[in-house]
Amino acid sequence: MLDIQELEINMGPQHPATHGVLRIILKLDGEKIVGARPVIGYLHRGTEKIFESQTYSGNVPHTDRLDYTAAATSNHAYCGAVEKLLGIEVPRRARVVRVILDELQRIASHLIWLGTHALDIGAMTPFFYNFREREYILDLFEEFCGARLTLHCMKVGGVYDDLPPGWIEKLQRFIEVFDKAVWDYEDLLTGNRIWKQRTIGVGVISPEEAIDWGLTGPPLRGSGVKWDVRRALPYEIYPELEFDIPVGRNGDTYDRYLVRMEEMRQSSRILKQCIQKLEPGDVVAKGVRVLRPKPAEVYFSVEAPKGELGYHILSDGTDKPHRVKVRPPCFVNLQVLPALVKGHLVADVVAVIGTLDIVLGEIDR
Amino acid sequence: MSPELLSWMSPELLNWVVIPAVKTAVILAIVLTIVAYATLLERKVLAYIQARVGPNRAGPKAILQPLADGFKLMSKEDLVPDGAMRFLHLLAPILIMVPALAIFAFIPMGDTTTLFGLLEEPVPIFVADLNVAVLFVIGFAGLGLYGVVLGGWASNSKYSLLGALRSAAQIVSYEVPQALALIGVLVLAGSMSLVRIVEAQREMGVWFAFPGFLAFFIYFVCGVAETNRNPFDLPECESELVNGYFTEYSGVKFALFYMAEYANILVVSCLSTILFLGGWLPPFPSLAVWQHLPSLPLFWFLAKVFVFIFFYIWVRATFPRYRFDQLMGLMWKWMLPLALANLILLALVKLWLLK
Amino acid sequence: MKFKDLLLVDLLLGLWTTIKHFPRKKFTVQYPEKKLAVPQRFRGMFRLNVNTCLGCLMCQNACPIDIIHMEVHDETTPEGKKRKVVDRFDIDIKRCMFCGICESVCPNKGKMLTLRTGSYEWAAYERDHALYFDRERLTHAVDEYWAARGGWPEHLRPPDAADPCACILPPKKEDA
Repeated sequence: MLDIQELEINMGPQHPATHGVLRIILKLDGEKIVGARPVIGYLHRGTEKIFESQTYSGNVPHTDRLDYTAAATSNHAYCGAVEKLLGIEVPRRARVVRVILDELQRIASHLIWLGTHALDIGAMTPFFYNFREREYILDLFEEFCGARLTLHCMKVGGVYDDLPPGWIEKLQRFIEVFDKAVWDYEDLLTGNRIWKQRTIGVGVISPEEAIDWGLTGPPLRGSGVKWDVRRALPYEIYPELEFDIPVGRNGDTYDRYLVRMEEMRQSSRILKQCIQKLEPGDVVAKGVRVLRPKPAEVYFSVEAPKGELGYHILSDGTDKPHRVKVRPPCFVNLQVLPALVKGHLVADVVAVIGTLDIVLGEIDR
Repeated sequence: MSPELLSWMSPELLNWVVIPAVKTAVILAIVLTIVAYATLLERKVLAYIQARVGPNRAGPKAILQPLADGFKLMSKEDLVPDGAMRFLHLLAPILIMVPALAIFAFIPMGDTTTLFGLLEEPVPIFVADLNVAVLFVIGFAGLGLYGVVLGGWASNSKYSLLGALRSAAQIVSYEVPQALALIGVLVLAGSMSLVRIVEAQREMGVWFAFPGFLAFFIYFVCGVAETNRNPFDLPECESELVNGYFTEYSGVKFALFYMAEYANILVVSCLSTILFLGGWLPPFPSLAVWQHLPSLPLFWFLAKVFVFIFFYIWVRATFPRYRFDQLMGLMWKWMLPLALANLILLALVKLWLLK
Repeated sequence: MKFKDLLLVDLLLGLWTTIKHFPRKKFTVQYPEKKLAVPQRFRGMFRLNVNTCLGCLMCQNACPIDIIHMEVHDETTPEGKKRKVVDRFDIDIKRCMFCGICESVCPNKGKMLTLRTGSYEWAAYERDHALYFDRERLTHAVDEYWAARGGWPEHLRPPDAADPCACILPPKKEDA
């Protein structure tokens, strides 16, 4: 008898398709996966501990660095939690601007996801088209708050600054460009038979399982569960806005792809409505210079591009939080990876990693 | 060149040694130059398709880029991983490069030339006109696999090994429909000599791509698989296996693998041109118009080859990658039956239409 | 399997999409030759005017990573007013994340400590040149940066900017 061994292969932490420093220990039978174990922590920076040593307002730039592809939503979740703790009423204009920033960030984040996901599956060109459109968004951010990636575009009680003159016109131009550009991506991928073969039936998860694993965001909606924090636990001006929550049917990689593509269109729809809703006014709540909340405990979450991003803050009466716990969507979504790839081939691992849309900055914190 | 200069040589020496040696050197130089510039072409075309500019720093319009790449790779340290089989590790890049270049001995880039009147007698523009050239080409193309498998095996790396295994699985899938597609052409031409195949297209007055469009399509798809390029670049796919069978190579050895890929593209493009697009013949060679124009064999040949290379790059820029089981499924379940149907179709065409 | 699939319509559509971009305008900016204009709010290198600084230490306290180090002493001006003079104003640039909090808490907003200088080419050949900025460098570096590039762009020019930098620093305590 031959001695048959499983091939154990280290995918990462330096690997082109693990989106950062994720390490997966794969057990292979030929190319078939019999076991996968993600190893995380290579990007651990102790952010939650840093939060405890800084003032409430000084923590905002640190939240940029968790999900660095979607800094605005990260800012939003943290600021929202602190505002809830202090009972600050955010001015109307700031709320609208926040929604605009969130939705721009959602599009930007989904563009990165689409580009890298397609690149993992071998289509290299969408990557460049996506980054071209994302560049417009980064330019908008840069003009608004002076930074492109780690934005620090919101602060407790409002947003960084008022919109600069001419910004809304640029935003409208971007929406026009983007609505056309989405069809290019669709032409390249959606109907393509290779893309379909690579994604349909790969990494299937049923709605019950998805809920049991605690998935949120597109991985959950791809399975057909209509749960979106923007609708389920509404915040800011989302109740006033009209938008649909796209859901998938089969819970496979292709459905999650379709869900995200539709989400980008819905975001562009939200942006158009927000432009109508902009009224002059303050962008920062008055009298929030020194933040010293009473001892309390709050949890506030927003719908980040990757799922539900929540901040759980425990205050102790000083100007620094006693404990901040982040509920990152990627961390929770990543845990389903071993179940999704089991029985598939090595090539499907990269498709599944791509479809979960993880960012290691947020997982390792 | 006057005959007096060469008169000290016996005609045997001249015809059997000197002229083939000169031709080999010239063809090698041409091929290696095209290979080097194919890398630049690929980077430029990819860049233009992807809304980028591409390389533009090394010399005007980056024409020195291949040289710069070559110098860079040659100045790199030649790393051999711990536990690798040193001899096989060295042998693999040679084994992949040599067959790719050897095939050019049989590829006619034109019928005859007098080098713009420099020579008194026209000289054929190929090293050898073998009567079983097609078999030879298929055989040599298959030899390239040894380089891939040995490279993957000798590197002592799991990624390389997986790449080599995939390559082996890939070759058994694509070679069968590819060979069957070629048989269709052989049926039409009635010969295995590449020169004869082109001549047959001249006599028939039509490129074989028209009656044999199915064979052409199959040969193209299999050619993409043979050159390990997207959408069939499974043995080296970057996002899964880092770089597949040549993950552990660096320096000159890496350069050899890299050049072999482009040499293979050139081989496949040349063969497609000869077998399906009439080689050095102009389009619709039976038209009376061509009688009055100078015949530019090398121009037509290279133009067709470059259109082909462009198409390869274009395909690479567009499509996602197949999974290797899907590639096998595609080849066995679709291409093989198609190739068989095509063979019957071409046999009937030959029987009834092209007597 | 539909008839449409046999015609490879999906693949041809993809090929059309990519070739459509082939002749279009390219998106790349050739950086050293061509430079993008940065918007007014761009957070670039710090610029400090010690003469208008109140010495209130707000920025030092607000900095989320504690990289601003200040020392001040009290002084009476010839008119008899009390003011604080900044002896030390060091920023540990290598750790700075350019969040702009120091700028936003500054009571003398935009006049004293500002990041809106639009400067981003701060690569240096000397290791020390990019690590730590002291009072003198914070004052002069940005002015010199723009002087070397033909003067401040109009939308970024601070009111106290001088093209050949002329800002005179107040004497430190030990100098006095």
